[in-house]
Amino acid sequence: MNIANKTVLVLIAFALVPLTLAAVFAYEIEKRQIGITQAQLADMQSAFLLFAFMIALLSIFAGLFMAKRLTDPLRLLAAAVADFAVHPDKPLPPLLAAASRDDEVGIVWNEFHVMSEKILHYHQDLEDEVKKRTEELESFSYSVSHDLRAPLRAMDGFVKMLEEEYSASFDEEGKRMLAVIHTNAKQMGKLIDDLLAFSRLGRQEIKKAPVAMEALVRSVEGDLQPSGSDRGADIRIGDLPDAHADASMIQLVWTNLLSNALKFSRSREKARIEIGGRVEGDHVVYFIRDNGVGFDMKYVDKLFNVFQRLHAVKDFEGTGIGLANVKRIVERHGGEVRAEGVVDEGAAFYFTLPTSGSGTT
Amino acid sequence: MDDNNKNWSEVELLLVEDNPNDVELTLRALRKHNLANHIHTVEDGEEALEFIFCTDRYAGRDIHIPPRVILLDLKLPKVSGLEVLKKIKSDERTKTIPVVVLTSSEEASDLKEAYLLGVNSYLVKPVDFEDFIKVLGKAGLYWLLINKSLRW
Repeated sequence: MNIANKTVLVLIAFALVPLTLAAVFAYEIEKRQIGITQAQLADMQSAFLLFAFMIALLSIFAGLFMAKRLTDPLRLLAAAVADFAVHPDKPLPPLLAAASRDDEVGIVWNEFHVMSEKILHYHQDLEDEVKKRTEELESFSYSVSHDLRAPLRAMDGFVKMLEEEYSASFDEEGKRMLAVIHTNAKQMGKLIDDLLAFSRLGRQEIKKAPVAMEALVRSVEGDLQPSGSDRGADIRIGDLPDAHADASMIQLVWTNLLSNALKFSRSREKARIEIGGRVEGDHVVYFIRDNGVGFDMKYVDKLFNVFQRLHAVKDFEGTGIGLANVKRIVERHGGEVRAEGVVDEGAAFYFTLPTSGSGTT
Repeated sequence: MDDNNKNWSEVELLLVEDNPNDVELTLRALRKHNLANHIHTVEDGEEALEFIFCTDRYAGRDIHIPPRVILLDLKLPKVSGLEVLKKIKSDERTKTIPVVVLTSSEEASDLKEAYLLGVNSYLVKPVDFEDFIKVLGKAGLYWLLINKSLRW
């Protein structure tokens, strides 16, 4: 029965009140005709009043009951809908009473159940799909690492054997060509390794914990520029506030940025590198600045792409994966990277990391 | 080498490798370090198991005289390297034979699986031939000359 029909019933119930009154009046008048005393009439009047009062009371209770029956499931439904929006995985509250109703409220409840089950179903389908794709990706990088490397190793090995066993048959030009094959096989091996490492960075789980940034940067500096090396750059490390991040990944970020800074400023009479950071709201902005060869700002958008290089290999070695790794790591921490450069004057790189564990993905 | 006339008890190193180029490079690398004597090569996981457990083609071999070390590729035809490793390490007669995985795979899952199964060492084949020779030379020296195995 729908709400409209129920309302009609209630109205009929209310209509019964005046009908009853009319019936009582008719009875009274009939009594008068047969002659009743004043006292009897007073009794009758108070009985009638009591009766009318009870009818009114009943009507009120009936009204309240109807209202409650109507709004309670709606309130539960509203709560369940709100809850579902936040925790879709949580099972819905049992609503047998409401769901078994045959009015609109019951229909809405049932539809909501069906809909939420469908959403969870689609959600699971998507999860399964993502899992399948990830597995495909992993088996792809597996075969890249295995199948592409084997022929490369053969190329490199057999060129080496030619050099060793048939060197008498090759003139200088022949030997140069063998060296070119060797260099390129090696380069391709490096590219494959870099690409795999980049892909692994995208899949690897991030283990966040407080990172003592200054100690970390100093250890990276120690690795890249051994103390006592005469031709070293002047590296100045300023304030480095701590961050909440995956220390091993952030170490990779600093290693890439600092080795870039050293590489692109090594041609300077006096290479100078500045490192620092400051807290801004809920994150830390870190920077590293060098006085190296810099870059043209019109290529700034390409800087962080995979295998993107802005300098010739003969001038500066490398495959061009370093900054792509930096960007990937920082963005997986919910941070941003930015670069500024002036040709022949230097470059500066900025990246942000969260200061605490909350509020980041 | 004619397998029928081979004295199996002399085999010190079993090389399980399906890629003929890698076999040639490996033998060459070992030869450079004078470690190429007494090597036997099998081309797939099935033959490796026959050799190790002395069945079928290797029924005449004595299981009590094991090789000093097994160099095992992971990606093999028929029976995979990890399955071969599992069979070796779960049999009382063969679990004491040192097994060195020699593979192109650096995948964390392969590494973990190999160590869980009890591999004795895990080496990644370098692309660069000179590095390859160095790695194999060091491993060969260690497992054939320095490491004390149960054999003899």
